[in-house]
Amino acid sequence: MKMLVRAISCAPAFLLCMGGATQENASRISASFSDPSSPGLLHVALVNGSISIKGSESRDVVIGTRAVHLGAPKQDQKGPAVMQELPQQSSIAVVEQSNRMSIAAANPSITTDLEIQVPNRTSVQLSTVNEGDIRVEDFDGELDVGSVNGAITLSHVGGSVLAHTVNRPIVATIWRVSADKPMAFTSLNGLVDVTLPSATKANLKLRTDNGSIYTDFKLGSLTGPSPSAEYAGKDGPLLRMEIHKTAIGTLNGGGPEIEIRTFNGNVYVRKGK
Amino acid sequence: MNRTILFMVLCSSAGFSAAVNAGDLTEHSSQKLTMHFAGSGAHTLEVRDVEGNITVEAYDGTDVEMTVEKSLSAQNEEEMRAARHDVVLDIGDSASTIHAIVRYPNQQTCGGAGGFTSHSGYHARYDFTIRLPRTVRLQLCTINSGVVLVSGTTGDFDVSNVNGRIAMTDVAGSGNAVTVNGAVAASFVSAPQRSSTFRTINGDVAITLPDSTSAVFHMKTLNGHLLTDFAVESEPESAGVVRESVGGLSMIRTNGFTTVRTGDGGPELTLESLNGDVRVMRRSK
Amino acid sequence: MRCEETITRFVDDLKGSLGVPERRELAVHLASCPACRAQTEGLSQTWEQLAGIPEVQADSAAMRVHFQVMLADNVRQSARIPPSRGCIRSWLERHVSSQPLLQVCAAVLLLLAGIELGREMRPSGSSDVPALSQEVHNLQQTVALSLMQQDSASERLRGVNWSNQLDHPGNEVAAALIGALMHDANVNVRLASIDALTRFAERGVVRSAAIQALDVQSSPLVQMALIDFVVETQNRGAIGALRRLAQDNTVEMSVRTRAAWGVEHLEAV
Repeated sequence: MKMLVRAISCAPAFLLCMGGATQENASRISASFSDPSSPGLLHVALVNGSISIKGSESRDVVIGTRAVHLGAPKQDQKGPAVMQELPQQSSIAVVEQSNRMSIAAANPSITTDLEIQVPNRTSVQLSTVNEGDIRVEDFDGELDVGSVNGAITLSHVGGSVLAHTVNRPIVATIWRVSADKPMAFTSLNGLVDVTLPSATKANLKLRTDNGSIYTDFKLGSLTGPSPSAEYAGKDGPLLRMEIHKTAIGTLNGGGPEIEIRTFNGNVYVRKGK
Repeated sequence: MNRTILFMVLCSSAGFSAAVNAGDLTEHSSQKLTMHFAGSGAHTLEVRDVEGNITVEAYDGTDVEMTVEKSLSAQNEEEMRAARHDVVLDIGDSASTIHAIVRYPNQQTCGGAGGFTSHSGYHARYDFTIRLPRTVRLQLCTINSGVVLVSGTTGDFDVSNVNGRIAMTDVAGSGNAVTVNGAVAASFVSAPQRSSTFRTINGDVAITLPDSTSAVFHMKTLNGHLLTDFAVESEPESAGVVRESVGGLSMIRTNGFTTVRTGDGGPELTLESLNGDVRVMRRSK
Repeated sequence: MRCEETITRFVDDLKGSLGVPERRELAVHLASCPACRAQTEGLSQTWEQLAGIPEVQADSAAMRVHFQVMLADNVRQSARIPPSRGCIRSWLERHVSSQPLLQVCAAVLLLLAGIELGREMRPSGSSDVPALSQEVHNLQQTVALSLMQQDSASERLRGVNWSNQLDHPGNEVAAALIGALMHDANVNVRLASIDALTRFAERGVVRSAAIQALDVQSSPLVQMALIDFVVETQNRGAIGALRRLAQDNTVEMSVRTRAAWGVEHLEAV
């Protein structure tokens, strides 16, 4: 009888029961690529929840689920006590084949916050929808990140970036730009603030529909309205361009295209070191 | 009409809980036994039922007092004969274990591998009411049309039901209380000292523990809430990770428990439902 | 040596027909010009891929077949449909037969492509375009098209950006860009393809594709860019689709407002 009961309760996760359970700490799981010496591809998609990535020199991908946030106690509907509701955890599935790894939450309706350490030089694709901030820190590799209702924050990343979100800002500080790769940072209702290394060679395409464009780079071959008076930014003077069309200009003679664009919000292109 | 009503009244007064169709034959008998444990080691009560309640109450004596209410219902006389003949209640005491096992021909008993298929022509219901010494270990199992009620025991337990609830009141000890369709409720006068599991598919899981409990709770439900009035802290340890490899594809799965600690941590209590709430409550004085 | 000559010289080098002093000059230039280096790196990769394709004659029928294969491959891969060994007809049947508008588009596209290709291959007396330059142009176009088929969104974006730099992009480029707009999984690639399609805005296939995209695209960023595109290109055929967007309450508010503005703007034209 117990076997029957166990089989019923395990039905949704049949493999779970067939495999052996180890006492591994499930809040930090280590996963590896089939060939750790070759660059891998990591794909993470969540419907509810946020993703934080940290680059590392280790060859493994380490996935952590953030500690549960304990809510405030409130009156229990079914009894006299004042009870605290605990948040539920979704179970996570990690699948890997031929250096392509995919992470997803088994129950998309439970908010799952993932903290993942990723080897540098991995190609990373992230997608979130709700409660879906995307944060990437100290990572060098290829980033393709998108959200609907999440803010995108990329701190000290190197490589190439494609980023888009709908209702939130994008803030990126890039310390190294891959020589021949295009980049794009686009939002609908959010500011886009990108810091690039001062020696970056690129063709910039900047656009906002309702907002202003600010930069402290000197753009060459600028097409589009000329910059108007200087504006004092917190780190020094920024040129400000009041335009509602695309401004195209070159940085340091030109190079691959970097598109920085929003519809409602300001665009900031800052000169880093 | 009157005779039918009278018949049904008679049936219900005899304590049937199974559905009775008009025209069913019924038979009822009652048996009272007193049994003794022998030997000085741990004593175990093993009850394996198919259809019916198991009610266990601890008392401060040394004997096991067992009352068995047996109710047969059958569609016709031939089925009734089959019921009388086929279903056997195997009661015995062998030193450290006292058992009462309902046996059907060519079938596993409750708890055996492979499940159970009930015979369609008759029902054989056994309701057990048992008084026993407090420290006896419990191995209780039933399948249909019954509840398992335990009160006052302090021995370890393994309680299993399928279509019915489990309720344990003022108990101690460690063990498992698992059912499929029904609530699991357990109130402890002292917290389990070893890993324990309280699980159902359709129903709430609610356990009550002393205020001073130090333990780790692994809680999970699919459609329901996880609630506690203990002061708890989030605990990163969780109940297991599975790794699977097929050809060139490898898969890792965690199992989605919310793990919290109360006090300084301690025994791991797993509480799980699918369609129902999970509650861990402080025993109010 | 200037950057504009690099590609020509490089192709010669690949063919083994570059003299020693020119090779030295080329090497020196490449060492100091990262942009040229990037271009030639891409070219040499594609050159190896092209080595696998049989020698193409200046034969419009054969070019048409080649183009059809490339078009089918490009759109199929962008849509992440597992490639099948069937010919373009079965591809069309599978993916287009239920959408008459797209069917017409595809047919017109193929016809136009065939005509355009034939025209391009005929030597024209007035223009002094040497045969080598034509080959280089085809090569650059092939590079752009092959980049747009890549697995990596960053490479596909690069392909779209490359196509912007082509001097005389053929119709296959427009077709590949439409494919990217309709099927690419990456929002930024789709956005870039809209910008890149601005050059082809007078072509009927592009205008029809933009209208269809309005009804099909669900990313608010892409919807916004499409609305602006049809307004800027005065595509009055889009009025119906814009109205539908403006009234669809599953669509982002700012997109709906913009679509309504687009309707007003186009009606006033």
